[in-house]
Formats: sequence, structure tokens, C-alpha cells
Amino acid sequence: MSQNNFRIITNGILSDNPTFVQCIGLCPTLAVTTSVANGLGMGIAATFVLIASNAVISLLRKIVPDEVRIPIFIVVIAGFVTVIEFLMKGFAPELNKSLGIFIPLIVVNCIILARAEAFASKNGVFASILDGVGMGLGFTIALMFLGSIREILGAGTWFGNPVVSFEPAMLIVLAPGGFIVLGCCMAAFKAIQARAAKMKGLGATPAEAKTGCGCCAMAKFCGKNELEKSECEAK
Amino acid sequence: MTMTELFLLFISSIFVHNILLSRFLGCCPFMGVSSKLKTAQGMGAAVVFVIVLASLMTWLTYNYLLVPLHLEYLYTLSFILVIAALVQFVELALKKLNPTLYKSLGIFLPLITTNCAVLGVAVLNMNEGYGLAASLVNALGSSLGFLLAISLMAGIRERIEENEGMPAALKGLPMALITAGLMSIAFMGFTGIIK
Amino acid sequence: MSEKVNDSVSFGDVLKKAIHLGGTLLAVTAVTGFILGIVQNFTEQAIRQTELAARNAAFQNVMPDGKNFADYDVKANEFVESVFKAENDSGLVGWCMSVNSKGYGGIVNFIVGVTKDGQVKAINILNHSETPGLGAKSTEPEFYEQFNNKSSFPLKVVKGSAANPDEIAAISGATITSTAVTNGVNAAVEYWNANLKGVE
Repeated sequence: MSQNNFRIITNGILSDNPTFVQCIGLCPTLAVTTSVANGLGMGIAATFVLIASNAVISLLRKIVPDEVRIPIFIVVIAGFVTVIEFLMKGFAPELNKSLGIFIPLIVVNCIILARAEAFASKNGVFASILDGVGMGLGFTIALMFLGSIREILGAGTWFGNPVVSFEPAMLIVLAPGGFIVLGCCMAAFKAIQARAAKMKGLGATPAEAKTGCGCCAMAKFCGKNELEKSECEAK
Repeated sequence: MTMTELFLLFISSIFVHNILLSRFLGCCPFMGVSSKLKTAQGMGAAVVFVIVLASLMTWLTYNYLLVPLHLEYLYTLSFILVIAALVQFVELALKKLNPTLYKSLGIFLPLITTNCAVLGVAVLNMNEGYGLAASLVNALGSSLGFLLAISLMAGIRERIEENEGMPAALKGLPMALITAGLMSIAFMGFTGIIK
Repeated sequence: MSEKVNDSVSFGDVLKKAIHLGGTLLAVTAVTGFILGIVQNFTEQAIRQTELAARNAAFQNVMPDGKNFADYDVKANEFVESVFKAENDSGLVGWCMSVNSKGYGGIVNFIVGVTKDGQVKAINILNHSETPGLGAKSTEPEFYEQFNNKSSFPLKVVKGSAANPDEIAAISGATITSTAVTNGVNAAVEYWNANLKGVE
């Protein structure tokens, strides 16, 4: 594998990690990380959809008219989401039950649409598949990391096996724990980044400007940019 | 469903099962557009409008198109298309019919197609097997819950942004998430109001 | 979508463009729908078999002596959704009832095994959307095994530990879920008394 292809994959895992760096796709991140197994299942489902839709959209990129490309991307993504739903119902019913409504909601996960728009619609099939693999892995690793923390602290187990001796804090697996654990992890990630940048002698963190949903490739469609512009004008 | 049940559903969808703080639907705008109270309220109002309309449309699509044709499994695809078309249509109609309202809500509309709260409420209504009245009540309650939570959040964030002593790593999104966690704990207090 | 239609562009051009855009969208949607139809055909069998297997496993859990479980045609009520007759080589052993009860997050669906003498043999929770860490604990043996071999009805939910044979200890922090399951079990027993008692 050439250096370049390798870079595409590691980008998704590290420097452009969808959860910790780009901070997109928050809903499933918060909702399904009540256990490692759920995080892993969601990660695999999203990775499948990401790879498949990236491949198909890259194939279609020359024949799709610019004006209707977003609806077409959504249709392709919805198609693959339905396929993964069938497969999960048939072969992993337990997982399907615990992920519930968040399976159909993969359609509106901004990570997938954002990759379609920012990468697959501009690059070749092979590169798009690699991008899907990288982003999917980055998402899966983030979900498993959060899932591990929440399951160990909140339920005292890891993949269902008891691991700690103290009384677990149930709040961590409940809704508030999701927000608080993700907030703390993001702060830790930012602090580590800042320290690393300092050691390299870069001063301020370069990632600062890229955080939040403003960095997402969909921002120019979803109206976020216009919104910020109007906020600036109001000042 | 009786009137009492509908009323209970309404209250519980606002407070007990708050769409943002307990169901985790619509977190992206909750974090992305909650730094100013005014924009947060605009976003919330647009969401109320779209969720109620979208629930009506998806309910009709499901019960009068997909069920008779035995195509229930196409719900994801058809719901998202209905929602996307609806948002486009609302935007055009609003521009023509009510420019004042368009000025305050229009900017938020394109944001809403990929807001998982809209598709989420439509799918929830379907999964729970709600009738038309219950679907609309659930949609209205859930979206008002969204408006409430995002307004509260923006009010708090306006204040904490000015806090000088906050460590740099916590500024922005991490602090907003922790705040949301604390709000979620507060909302857990509503659990007991519905038996 | 950008709609920059200049006056110089003729109506025909606009129409052509609209047909091109709409046509592409329609074609992609149609192809997707068609492919999904095919995939659905292939996976339908697997989905049905998985569901059937899960239900049969549940029947076996709540009525270990049963061998055949046949759909028994009776009227459903608010709680009891369907009834299955459990038999083995020596005849009727009991009934498996699929019960729906409203919990905290939505409907809790479970199978109650009622013996031919009207005792609860065991229960098995199939579907629920209760809170992880709280109501979802109803699927753990610590809670559902409390219903094994119960014979005094109606069952009551108590906080703390159960002292009497008609008491069920609530899951801590999830009284609504515990009550929902217990009410469902009581309803199943009432249903047996009203409709199934004495049936051979």
C-alpha cells in the first residue's frame, strides 16, 4: 500500500477523528455508548454504510447532476441503512434491539453525508473506500473507548464481564453520564493536543478553528455558515 | 387514546422523555446552535414547525402508502425523502407567503433535513404504533421539549462563555456537554410526575 | 438548490433541465427501491427464522416440560396478545402467553408460562425499551427468576426484599418497570382463570 493510501486511513482515525476532532455525529455517540458491545455494533454498522455509500457515490459522481446530488446521496445512504437493518434483524437480533431507533437514524448521521460530500464525490472508488474504512474505524474506536469508560464506571463490567470491585456509579450509564463522559473526554483530548502542539513549538492549537459542526463539510448546506455570518453582522 | 392519555403523553414527551436530554435526538444543533439565545430560539421554533408537519406527512405516508403496498421496510428511505421534500417546500412557501417569518426561521430550515430529531420522532411514532392524534401530540410535545432544552442551554452558555477562569481545554464544546449532563440530571427529577 | 433562471433561458431549456434532474433522482430512487426489494426477499426468511427461534427458545424457558407449542386461537385483551398451548407426549402441560405491558420507555413484551393448574412457571422478557442500567435490569435473572413457580396471586411489588410468597422485589430505581411486568403477569393469570381454566 502506498504512503498516500495509508495516510487516508490514518487521517480518519487520528487527525480527522470524526468524534474527538470533528465533533460530528454526536447523537449515536451519546446514545449507544452505554456498553462496549453496543458501541462496537454501532461502529460496525456505520462503517459498513460509510464504505458502501462512499463506493457507490464515488462511482456515480460523474453522472449525478450537481443540483440534486444531496438528495441522491441521501437516497443511496438510506438504501444501505435499510440493508444493514435487514441483516441485523436476521443475524444479530439482540444488537438490533439494543441499538433500536439509532439504526435507521444512521441515515442522518452527519459523518456519512459529510464524507460523501467532502470526499467520495471528488475522489476515485478505491480512495473513497479507504476513506470509508478510516473514518469508520475512527468512529468505531471512539465509540468503543467511550463505551468502555461508561460500562466500566457505570456498570462495573467490560463486554459483560465483571472487572471492578467498587460499587459502580449507575449515573454514568444513564443519559447524564453520556454527556458528562463525552465532555470530559473531549476536554482531555484538547488538553493533550495543546500540550503536543506546545512541545512541537507551535504555540496555539491549530485544531481550535476546526472543532464543532462548523468544520463539517455539510456546513455550507446546512446553513451553519450563513448563521454565523448573520450573527457577525448582528454584532 | 383518551384525552387524559393524550395529555399525559404530551407532558411526558416534553419533560420525562425530553428528546434532547433523555432520548439523545438532535444533539448536533443542540451543541452547534446554542451559543446565542436568540438563534437558539429561532432554531427551536423552526424545529417545532417542521417536526409537527413532518410527523403528519410521514404518518400519512406510512399508513396510506407503505402499509397498503406492503412496503413497510422502505420506511427509512421514504421518510427521509418526505422530510427533505417537505423542508424544501416549506422554505419556498414561507418565502412567498410570509417573508417576515421566513426571515426569522428560513435560515434554520436547511439545517433541519439532517437533524435526527425529525426522522427520530417519525420513526418513534411508527414504532409505538401511535394513531394520528397521538402522533401529532407526541410530535408537538417532543419539539416543544427541544425548544425548551435548547433555550435553557443557550441561556446558560451565554453566561459561562464570559467566565474568565475556565481552563482552556474545557472552553466551548466540552463545557457545553458537561452543562447538558447537569441539565439532564435535573430533568431526571421529572421522572416521578407520570406514573 | 440554486435556481438561477435567467430571462434569456427559454422555457424549453428549463423544462429539459427539470426533466433531467427529476429523472436522475427518480432513476436512482427506483434502482435503490428495486435492489432493496431483492435484498428484502433474501433476508425475510432469515429474519422470520430468527424471530421464530427466539420465541421457541422463550417458550422452552418458561415451560421446560413442553414439547410442542401450538397457536391457540383466543381473544386478545389489553395485556394478553396471544396464547400458545404447550403439550408433550402425555398431553397438556400449560400455556405460554405473550403479554404486552406499558413500562417506562414503552411496551415491555414478555412470555409468561402458566401451568395447567394456574401456577406461573417462569417468565421470559423478549422486547423492551427500558433505560439501560435501570429498567433494562428486568432482563437479568435476579429480577425475572422471582416469578419462578409463583402460586399466590395477585402479586405485589415491594421495595427492598420480598418476604412473602406474593411479593416481588422491585428493581431499585425502576419501580415502573417492575410494576409493569408484575401487572402483566397478574393479568396473564386472570386471563387463565377466565378463559383457559379447565381446557384440556
